[in-house]
Amino acid sequence: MIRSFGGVRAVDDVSFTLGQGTITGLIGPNGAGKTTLFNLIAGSQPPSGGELHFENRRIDRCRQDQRTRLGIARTFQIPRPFPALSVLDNLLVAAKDQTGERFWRAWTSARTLAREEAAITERAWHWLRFMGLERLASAPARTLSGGQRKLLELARAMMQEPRLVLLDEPGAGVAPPLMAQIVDRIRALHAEGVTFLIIEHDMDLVMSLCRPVLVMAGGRLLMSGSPDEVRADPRVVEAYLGGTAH
Amino acid sequence: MMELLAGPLAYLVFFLVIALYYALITLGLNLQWGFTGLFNVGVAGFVLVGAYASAILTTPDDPGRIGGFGLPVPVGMVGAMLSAGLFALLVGIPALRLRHDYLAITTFGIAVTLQLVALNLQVLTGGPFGMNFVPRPLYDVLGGQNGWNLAYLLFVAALVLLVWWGLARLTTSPWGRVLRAIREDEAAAAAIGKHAFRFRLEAFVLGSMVMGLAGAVYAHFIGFIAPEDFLPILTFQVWAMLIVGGAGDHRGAIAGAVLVWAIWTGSGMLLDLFVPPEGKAQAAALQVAGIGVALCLVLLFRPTGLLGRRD
Repeated sequence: MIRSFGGVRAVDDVSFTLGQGTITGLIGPNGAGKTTLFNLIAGSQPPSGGELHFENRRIDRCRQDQRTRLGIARTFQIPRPFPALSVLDNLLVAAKDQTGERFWRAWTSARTLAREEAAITERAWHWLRFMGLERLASAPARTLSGGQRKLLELARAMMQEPRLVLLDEPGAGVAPPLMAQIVDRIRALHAEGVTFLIIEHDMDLVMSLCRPVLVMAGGRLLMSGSPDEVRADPRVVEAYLGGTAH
Repeated sequence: MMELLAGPLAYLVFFLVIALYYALITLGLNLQWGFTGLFNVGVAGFVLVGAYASAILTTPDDPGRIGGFGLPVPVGMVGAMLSAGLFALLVGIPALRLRHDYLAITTFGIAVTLQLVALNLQVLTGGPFGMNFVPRPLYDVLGGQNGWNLAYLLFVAALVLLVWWGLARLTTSPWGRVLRAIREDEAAAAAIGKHAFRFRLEAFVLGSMVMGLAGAVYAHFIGFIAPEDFLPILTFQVWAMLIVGGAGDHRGAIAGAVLVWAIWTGSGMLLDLFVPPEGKAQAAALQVAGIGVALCLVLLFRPTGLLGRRD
């Protein structure tokens, strides 16, 4: 994948394969191009070049909503819940392919809508309990703490029934007890077969959670390997200590 | 009965019909702004399209201009909604890709242009002389002006209730939930797989159709429309109504419309009573100032409006 902004190549010829059922870490110094790479995979920015395949299907020309339907979900570095919506509504809105999202069905198919709504509400409660947010269901999302917002985003992502979840710094700004809960939930979801690609600066978290780890610097993919290999590689040390490696 | 309808009561009926005409427009804007966050500053343009479409479809044949198809009034009203909706679709496809402030500039420019077209395209709109003989259905049957006004009030009230019910069904459905999500954070809505542009366009078109219907309601009530009925001041009034009533709440939109129209007409009456004839033109500006003060008070003491839920 390539993504240029004017003369700057934020993502410069990065090529890799994500193994199904892995938790892959994506690390690198600030400005390495990690979030831009996320945007390219999720479809919120078009690539300047390259190809993207998901489960044997080329998707780099698919719109963001089409990619979500195929099974790719994402969270943001700074969580973006819908602040005025309740926690429960934040989850309900994320369920995909709802009949009631066609406006005329609101007038013509009351019974179908009620049946679907009951089903997705049940699913939403499952994920609220799974994340430990059930007591906050009716609270507006803006009242949540940073860590709770991260959990809400993860729950919202799960409502989309994804097979690949892109997590942008799930540990950033989260208090330690909630951090442990987030890591525990990621592990539990992984055990259920969800694939993760995780951007994270907390090296302890990356080293304990992720196999393999990709390292980016200056828009390029520097290396990929096991946490031990990454830790031992002098290029990674250089990238972090010596600024960006070009 | 008919005597009762004379005097102040007759005026009250007239006042309420116009207030409910504004309520319809405000309901349309509420769907666009209150629920979807679409900054439409060209409200008057969509009302104009509806009013003229219905007038062209229903007026008797006139050798002086194109149109005058003499069709039944319900056909005119449906035509008004479809015309305003089609027009919103054409405007929305390019404009809704723009950021909020650009959408405002675009819609404002289009409304001003439409008003100028109505003023100058005499062959279709009657130009500055407007369009006369817009049919008032069953006028003779209902006992002339006062009886007819009362019947029309009942008709418009039923229409407002129907539109309110229809919009409430929409906004409490999953479709409405997506609109609120888009209003809160469009990028996040896109990230959970919602094709934000489609929802924005649908809300824009549906809201504009309600505005078009309101235009037809006005045309058939007054029986005459002219370009100066659709000046930018109309857009200002409707925005004031929505802000005072409370964006994001259908009841707020209706209450705001009736209240602001009461302030508007009330201040007009007071000015008539207390301002000498030579000062009338200057005093008219005080009406706008009065609405401005009301807006400031509401924003200071109740920023979400009287019934608004948006926060």
